[in-house]
Amino acid sequence: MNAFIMLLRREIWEHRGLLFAPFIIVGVCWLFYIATLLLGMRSTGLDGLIEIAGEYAGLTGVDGLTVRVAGFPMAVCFLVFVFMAFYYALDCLLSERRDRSILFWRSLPVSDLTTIASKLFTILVVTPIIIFIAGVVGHLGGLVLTSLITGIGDSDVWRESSLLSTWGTWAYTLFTMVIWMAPVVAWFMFVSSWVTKVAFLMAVVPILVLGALEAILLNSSVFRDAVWGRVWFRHYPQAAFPEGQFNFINFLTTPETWIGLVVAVLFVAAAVYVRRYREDA
Amino acid sequence: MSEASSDDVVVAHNLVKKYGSVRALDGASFRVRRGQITGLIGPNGAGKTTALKAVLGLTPFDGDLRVMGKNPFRERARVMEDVSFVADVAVLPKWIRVHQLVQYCESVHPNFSREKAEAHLARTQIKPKARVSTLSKGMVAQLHLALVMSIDAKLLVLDEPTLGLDILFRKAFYETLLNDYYDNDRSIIITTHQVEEIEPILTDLLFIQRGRIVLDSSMDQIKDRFCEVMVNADRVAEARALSPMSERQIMGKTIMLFKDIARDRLETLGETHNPGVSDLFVATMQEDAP
Repeated sequence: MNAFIMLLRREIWEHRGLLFAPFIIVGVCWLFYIATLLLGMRSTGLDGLIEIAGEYAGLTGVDGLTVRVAGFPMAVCFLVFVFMAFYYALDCLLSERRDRSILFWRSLPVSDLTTIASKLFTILVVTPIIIFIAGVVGHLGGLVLTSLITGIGDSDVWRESSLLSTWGTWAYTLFTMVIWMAPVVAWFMFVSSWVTKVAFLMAVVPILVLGALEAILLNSSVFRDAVWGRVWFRHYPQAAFPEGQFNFINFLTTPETWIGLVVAVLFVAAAVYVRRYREDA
Repeated sequence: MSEASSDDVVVAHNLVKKYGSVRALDGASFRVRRGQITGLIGPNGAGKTTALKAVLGLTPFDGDLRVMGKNPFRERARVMEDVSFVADVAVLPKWIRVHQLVQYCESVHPNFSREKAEAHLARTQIKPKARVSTLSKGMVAQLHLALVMSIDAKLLVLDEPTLGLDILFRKAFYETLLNDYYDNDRSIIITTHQVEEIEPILTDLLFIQRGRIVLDSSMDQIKDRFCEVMVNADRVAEARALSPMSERQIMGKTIMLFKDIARDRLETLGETHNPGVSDLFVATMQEDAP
């Protein structure tokens, strides 16, 4: 167990951005938010201001000022998380071969399965937790800023229940997002385990080609919809937020959720196999 | 193959490794026992690195190979608890800091001693906060050696560990290894092209040629079996009749290398002495040439 935690720390040492980027983003959002509030105050007064604040949110469909105000940093963090996860997955098994440090890592008594599990855990569990904390910090900071600048300090946004429901929705969103994107992350990791360069192209081109072949030869778009829909989270809102409300039962009973997980397990197993058998002579 | 004993660290029998149609290992059999410092010597492409990779569980293979009684490919993680490895190139990750490396090894390796590592490092110029990318090539080798010496391993594998280092570092490297690490319970396998530098510390020799072991012998046996003779000018024809492994001329003198010929017989031909590993190597390779 200690060893596994060290493997996670190792990942964070190597990819310090996973730890810092979300907080930097939050800081930038605050600056942006302050500017918007001050500008909004000057041109439209208090009512317009609340509306402007609201425009930045609308993230989960839950209505009202509670989620809207200061939800912006979290929305940006969600987006950044998706890009970080894809980038990390594409890089994590390639970079250790590029600098040959894989020979050092594999000279220690850590199995390939454990190593890859630690990388997967880093990007699908540790990073979302960091993202969540950054989002909550961003949220609280945003609320403080709003209160300070507008003076609506005792508004609904500070009610404990509204804070908790906002954060609960975010946690739910992150959790379901992670499950939803797992097959894409696993595919990228698999590509990362054997590719020697242009990892991004190697990950994307086969999907594009297969999609095109499917359209030309079979005149169908099942594969394309399933794969691209997955990358762009197309069916995700229907699964996790039917009718705009979060619904875990619906998410769990959506077949795509489970198909995705099975695909993810297969690609992770393939990545483990490749790391074990691949030799860099 | 003789009976396995508890002193066996590596037992390889009929190892075969094919890359396409090339047989990097073509039936290699050898054995490394506890306490041996074995030099694995061979020309480029003879299969040295492949043999080491098989021992380290880095490559699948055909044939029978046991390291501490285990199949290293199938149980790499377990085997590596008792085996440590320094590769031919600097393989420490560039981005990591020295103290992070020590911490990492301590956590994942059951036989790693942080105190030892810190003591070894204190004797070098390497600062704990330094990133590997800022260290010189020699310092990276020192760092790797310090880590490896802090592992209480039964087998240490060194694949050209001093490649690209200057002579001072190379000398210090082997001195440290011998004085601060080696004892009769440990085994070391070394490959290098600088045979002369490791010759004094070796206890055993393995010559490998085209994927096969062509010589497997202790240094003591080598002294008994092989003899170099500076043949007196009037005895050259007589000496040739004993079919020497090799013959060369140095400063007008004829030097011949003999295998399995009684020393008192050879002493009648001229001045005898023990052959150097590199001369023996050249002679063995020529004898075995296709």
